[in-house]
Amino acid sequence: MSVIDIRGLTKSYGPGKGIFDLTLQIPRGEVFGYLGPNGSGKTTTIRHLLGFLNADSGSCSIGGLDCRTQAAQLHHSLGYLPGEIAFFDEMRGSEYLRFLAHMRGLRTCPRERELLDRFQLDPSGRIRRMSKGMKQKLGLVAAFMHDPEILVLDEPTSGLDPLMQQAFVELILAEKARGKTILMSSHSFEEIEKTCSRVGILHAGHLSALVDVADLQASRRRVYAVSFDREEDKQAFLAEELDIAGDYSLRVDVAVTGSLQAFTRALSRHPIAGLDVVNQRLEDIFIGYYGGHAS
Amino acid sequence: MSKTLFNKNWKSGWKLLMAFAAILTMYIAIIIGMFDPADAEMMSRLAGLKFSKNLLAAFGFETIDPSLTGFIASYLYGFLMPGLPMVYTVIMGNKLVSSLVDRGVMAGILMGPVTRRRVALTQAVYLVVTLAVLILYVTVLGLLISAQRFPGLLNVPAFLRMNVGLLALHLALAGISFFFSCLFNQTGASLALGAGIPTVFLLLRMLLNSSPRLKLLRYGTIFSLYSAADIALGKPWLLPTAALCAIALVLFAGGVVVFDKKDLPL
Repeated sequence: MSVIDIRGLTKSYGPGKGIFDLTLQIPRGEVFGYLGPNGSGKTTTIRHLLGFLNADSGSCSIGGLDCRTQAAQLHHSLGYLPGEIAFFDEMRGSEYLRFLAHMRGLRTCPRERELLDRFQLDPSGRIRRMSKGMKQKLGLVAAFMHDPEILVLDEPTSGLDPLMQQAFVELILAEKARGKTILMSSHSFEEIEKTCSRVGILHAGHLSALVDVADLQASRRRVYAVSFDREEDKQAFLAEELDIAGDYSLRVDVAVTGSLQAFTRALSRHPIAGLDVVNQRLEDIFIGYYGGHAS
Repeated sequence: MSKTLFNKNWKSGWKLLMAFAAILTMYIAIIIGMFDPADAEMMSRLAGLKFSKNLLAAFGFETIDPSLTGFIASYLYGFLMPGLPMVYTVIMGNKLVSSLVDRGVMAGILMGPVTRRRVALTQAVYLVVTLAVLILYVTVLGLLISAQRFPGLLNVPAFLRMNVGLLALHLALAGISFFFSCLFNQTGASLALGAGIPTVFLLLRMLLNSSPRLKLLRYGTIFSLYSAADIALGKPWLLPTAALCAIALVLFAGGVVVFDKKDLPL
């Protein structure tokens, strides 16, 4: 049975802006990755799930409760991390967490201490003085501290350093093991790859693909930068039967989809100065998946 | 009503309330102290300071009734008491809803198990309660200072009626600020109308005071529903006061409903 149930959800902010006839079901216990470039409608979807927006048409519900009309009841078992996070700046971090606990009718939150330790956050300072990363951690603690069954996280790792991103991934995996249902948006494929079992790709407000992460990894197009000491070496390498994605002075970018074998064999035949993975934009990653027709 | 949210409002808002209480204390003490039972023609002395008669009239500084009650009605309740708490109302009205949405803080409040109605209602109650406390304070202070400086001179029932009317006026003004605070997601828009409309009403009242010939303006401002000087003279006051309360009720209820229905960019 699906916990998060979005049916024909439409909210238009003009042509190509908003979300259009979005249908998506997320079963209990699934960690679902919601991917898409900026402005594709991820946050708009999430705002509907939280009951902040009125749909033009369609509906969405969580655990059988309508997201808009039964929001208050539904929020008992929901944790939310906003994309653009904001706090009462004049409060201390710990005051804010207490405020949220009291708003939930709780005296203390069962997991607050553990989460603060996990993210190595000292909440005693004024929120105004906190860095972007600290605020993000505070937002994460606020989302998880009442131990909700369902979590909706909008770009949860933005502002976190790699160590904390790893701490976040571990937290998600632990929650997944405890049977939580999680929807998280991201534009980082790496983060989704490590945590999610299924991914929805949003493009201009339309759900353009629903993919199992395992399939996506198999068909993923990776780009490697191969560098050389001499121009002759590079010219010789270019003669290999490879998918050349870019040709620079002493560097060649090679795109590889699926098996790496042909590429590693070619590498072994030439004197190579260096090898690097090229950080790719989300669209590039999915070129492989769409068969080169992502637009 | 959410007690937690109410307490949070108090924690970040009590200083503003105290500041207004302090300013009003100063004015009340000074102006009541200026009353001279032997010389009711304060106007002539002020006119001696080369203020134009029209300008003084704009601020309601006209002695219609030479008694202490009439004096307080003109010099305190003509302009200062309607004007100053209005500034509090405008600031607070905007702070309580629109500013929280604009800053994104509202997301933290609404992600809890609380309905929008309850949140908006809490904010409305906070505004009404603090306003009532402020007016109650002003009333008690006026009674005390009058009793101490001029024992027995104040017409207490008339003074109390003046303050009840004043509270009704401020509730109506607060309703305006609150409604637009609920309607708009941007502080700019909320302030433009939530502060703009009450200010225009006040300016119209001042214009009307200084040029009584512009009679039609009477219908352009809700300040026409409150005149402390008239109340001091014993003119009918219940109907306009009830009208102000009705305006307040409609605007506050409207604000809550609008906030419940609208799209929130959180």
